[in-house]
Amino acid sequence: MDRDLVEAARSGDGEAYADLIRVRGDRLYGLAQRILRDVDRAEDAMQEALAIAWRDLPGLRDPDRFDAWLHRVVVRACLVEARRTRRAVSNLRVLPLDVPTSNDDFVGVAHRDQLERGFRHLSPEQRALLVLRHFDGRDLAEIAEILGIPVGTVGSRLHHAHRAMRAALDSDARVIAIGGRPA
Amino acid sequence: MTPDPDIERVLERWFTEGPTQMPDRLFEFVDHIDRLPQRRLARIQTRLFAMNIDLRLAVTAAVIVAVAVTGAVVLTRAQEVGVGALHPVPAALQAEWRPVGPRDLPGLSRPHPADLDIVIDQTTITIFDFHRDVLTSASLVGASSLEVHMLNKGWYWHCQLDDAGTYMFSLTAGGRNLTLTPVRDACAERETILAGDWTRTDIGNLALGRHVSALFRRFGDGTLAQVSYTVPAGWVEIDERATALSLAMPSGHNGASLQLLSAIEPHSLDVACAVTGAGVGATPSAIAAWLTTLHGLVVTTPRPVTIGGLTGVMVDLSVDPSATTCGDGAGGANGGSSSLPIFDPVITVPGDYVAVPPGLELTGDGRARYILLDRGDGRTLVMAIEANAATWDAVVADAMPIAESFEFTP
Repeated sequence: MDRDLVEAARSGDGEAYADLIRVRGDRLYGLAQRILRDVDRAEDAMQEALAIAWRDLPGLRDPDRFDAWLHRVVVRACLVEARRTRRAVSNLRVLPLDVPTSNDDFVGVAHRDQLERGFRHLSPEQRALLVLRHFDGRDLAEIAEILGIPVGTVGSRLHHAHRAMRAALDSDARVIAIGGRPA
Repeated sequence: MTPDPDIERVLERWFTEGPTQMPDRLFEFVDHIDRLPQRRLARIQTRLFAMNIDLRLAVTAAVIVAVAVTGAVVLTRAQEVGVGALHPVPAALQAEWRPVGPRDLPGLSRPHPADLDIVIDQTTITIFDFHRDVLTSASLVGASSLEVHMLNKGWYWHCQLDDAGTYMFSLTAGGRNLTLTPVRDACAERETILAGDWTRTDIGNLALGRHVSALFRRFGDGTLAQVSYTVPAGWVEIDERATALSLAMPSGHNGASLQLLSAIEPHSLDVACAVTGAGVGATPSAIAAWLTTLHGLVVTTPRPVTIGGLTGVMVDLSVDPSATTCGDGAGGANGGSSSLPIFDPVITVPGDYVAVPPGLELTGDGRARYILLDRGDGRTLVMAIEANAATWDAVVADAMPIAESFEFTP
């Protein structure tokens, strides 16, 4: 039972902590990778988050909130990593794919390029918000708890992030429509 | 907030692509995690109520530094791109300006009326584009004209470095509004943005005396229902938009601040972090009654108040130090400090999403006075005075005369 594992890990049981991470690691890594859009930086952020979570686990008073708390630690590590390397990294690498690309044209090659470019121009907080919502499937209240901001703020920031992504797609569509090609 | 199902579906599909397995290296790291010590302090609380205000002031200071640095960059870049001697922009133009009417911003499919501000300083016009800050050098070339040169390019702009332009400028009496009229400009995107009317945001130092809001409106929108107020020397305006006005004393005094939000939405979190506040009435008395129900919040008995012709109630708030609130504990919502959100702002101008004004919250030993006023249309405007416990009395003494000086025009 997770509650028992959390309490054991909180008391210094490293195996219990490893068990907790074993069932959550892939999802959390996916989260980090999609926020940072870079596998190496996602690894760095995850390692940092895993160490911080272990270190601070005794301070978690309610074991039932472990998942939200761990997500928060991971997202924070990603935000720190994003800010730390933002100035140093001008070109982020495009995702290596280890799952098959969908055959339909819903997210076509051109769209991927536009999405990638639009996403890169969002703030790290906005990226985290979109990934929590559309990759992790979190509702607004859960995102509010993870990011530590009011639900209404989540709603308005989400709206803004959607608008920014829509703008990226619309812009390139407009360029195509007048005879150009996506920049 | 209008949902955009298309972009949501695209993002969901897009996010399915990418790595799905955590690298073995990280699992191996976790397998040996017990080599690292755990922190045994169960709770370390920081009491940094003044952080928000100080942060905003710090940002203001950073902007000033950035402007100074930018000036130096401009001089250097101007020499690189062959611009002649620069004659400083007149002081009356040196301010932050917000557009009056929509502007067709590059990269966006629709005009957005409030998505960009410009800052004009001695040597530079900075356009806060949707994607990045676009810099243009500016120098006075006649009694009422500016010559501009492109110093960098916006993300979706088609202009070139050093693209030149000339603009006539005129100010209304009192210098509240600016009109820029292009004579010529090689950069079409810049011309589209700069041409037209601008209104001064007044962000920065406020002179002693009476002021009229440039952007803030009692109903959060429209051109009428401005507010006016009187400040002593030393106060600064740190934010102004249609829905919010924030005044503060710089750090080093007592951290006093006074915020106005034209409309608020009760929104808090209980001890289990569940949202509360839905369904609370919109009147001052209903909101004050709701405040008394919040776990961990100490609220004084509401007192009737009339300010500038608007009536309402006034309450003082503090956080019960013995109470547990959502976000307490290591890794809590605010990095280990307890924070209790109370109000969300209500956004009535779409462009305000670009920089969502902060809501109201209490953190740690924070104290607040909320003056809840009936706007006259059934909704509540809030005036908030905030400080920490140590400076509370001094802050109230400083801020209340300003609060009581507000007048609300119809």
